[in-house]
This record gives sequence, C-alpha cells and structure tokens, in this order.
Amino acid sequence: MIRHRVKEALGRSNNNDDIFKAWNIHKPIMPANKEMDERKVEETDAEISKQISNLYITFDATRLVNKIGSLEKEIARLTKLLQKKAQLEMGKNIVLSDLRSYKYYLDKPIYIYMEKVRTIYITSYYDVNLYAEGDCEEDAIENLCKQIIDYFEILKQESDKLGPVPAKHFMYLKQIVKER
Amino acid sequence: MKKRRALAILEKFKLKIRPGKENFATFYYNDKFILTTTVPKGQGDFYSVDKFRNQLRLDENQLRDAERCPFGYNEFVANLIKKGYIN
Repeated sequence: MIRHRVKEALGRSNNNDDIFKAWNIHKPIMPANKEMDERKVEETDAEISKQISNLYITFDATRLVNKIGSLEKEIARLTKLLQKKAQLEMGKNIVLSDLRSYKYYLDKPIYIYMEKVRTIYITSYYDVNLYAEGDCEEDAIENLCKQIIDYFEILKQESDKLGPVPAKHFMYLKQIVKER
Repeated sequence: MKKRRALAILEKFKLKIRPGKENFATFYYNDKFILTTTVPKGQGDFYSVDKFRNQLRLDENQLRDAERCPFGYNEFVANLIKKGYIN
C-alpha cells in the first residue's frame, strides 16, 4: 500500500529502483544467495517499508504545510477584499452643506448616509425618511437633494393638510431649507 | 423585487406619482398628506426595497403580501391607522 502511494506520488513509476533513487532510500543489500533464509527476507522488507513509510509521512507533511501556507495567504487576501467590500456596503456618513439648487440652500449642514448596494449608490436622509439612488456617489447625492427639495415643496404646498409625520418633517425642514 | 413590481404596489395603494427623474409618489387619505415614497425610474432590480418598505411603513411580510396580492389598499390604510400615521 505504502509503496503504491509513493509510486503514485512519483508519477506512477513501476520500477522500485526509481523510487529508491528519487527518494534516497537505502535499499538493503540483498544476499545473492538464492537460498537466503526467510527471516532475512522479512527483515529486509520490513526495513524498506519503514523507510518508505517515513518518507511518505515527510512528503505528505511537507505538501500539507505548503498547502496550508498558500491557503493562509489566500484567506488573508480574501479577508482584505471582504473588509473593503463591507466598508463600502456598511456605508458612510456625509455632511451635506448645499442642496445643488438655484432656489434653495441649506441653512446648516445635514448628515446623509451613503451605501453601495451591488452596482448602485444609495443615499439616505433619515431625519425625513428620504432616499435616492444613483450610478455614482455624486449622482446619488444630487438625486437626494432633488428629493429633499421636492418633499419640501410638497410640504409647503400642502401645509394646511399635513398628516402627523409630514407635519413634523415640515417643522424640521423649515429650519434647515431656505429660499435664496 | 423589480422596479415595475414596486410601481404596481404604489398603484394598488393609490399613491399619486409625480413625474420627474425618479417616481416620487405621495399618499393622501381624507385629503390629508400622509406619506411619500420614491421608486427610481427604469427597469430592472430595485435595490432600495427596504427603504421603500420603510417609507410605506410596511413590515417585510406585509410587503411580500402586497406584492402577491392579499395586502391591498384597505389593509394598507388599516396598517397606517394602527401605527398612528393616520389620525
């Protein structure tokens, strides 16, 4: 069995001498006498088996260590990639100080949240429960600015018939969004 | 969820959609402005489903039901009343 596995590792050589040579196994000198007693044959076989077995273990362990080494490198690389991805997907807070509008401006900066989901960027303004999407970060920010303005204009227009939540939002936005 | 499915839900809940770069929709009940939501224009996958769901004040099961049918306009209004968004 051991011989077979070593042979396999050495590229299926059928010649035992090749194995001995390649793996530096000391082949015990066999007595030329055909009448060698059975005990000596057994001893010789046992010695060869032992040497092959030791070599196989060494060979296997070396291969295992190499494999572990390369796997560790791969894990480290993937961990870095995942961390980068997670950072992007976890998102970031951005301070917005302008609404990118000729008509309205922000009286004080607001915090918006930006995250990346697959290929698109999503910006959220949690204070008034608005969000916008964009193909790039700037696009997402600009779309959110438009949302804030649209929402503010609706609130202004419907100021006498606001439900409980829009009424709160209007009170808040009035302090922040100003007309130029 | 696809964007067109989200738009179908808005229609089902009788939200008014304003034309613009994004589908900005508003919901009125008894002539009161109750909430607003957005569905980006175009087709394909709708990545902001959770935000859309939050704007409509729905939980995940309700949104799933709304997509499949059993959760209609009446259920939507009942949910808003229950949660205090409609007086």
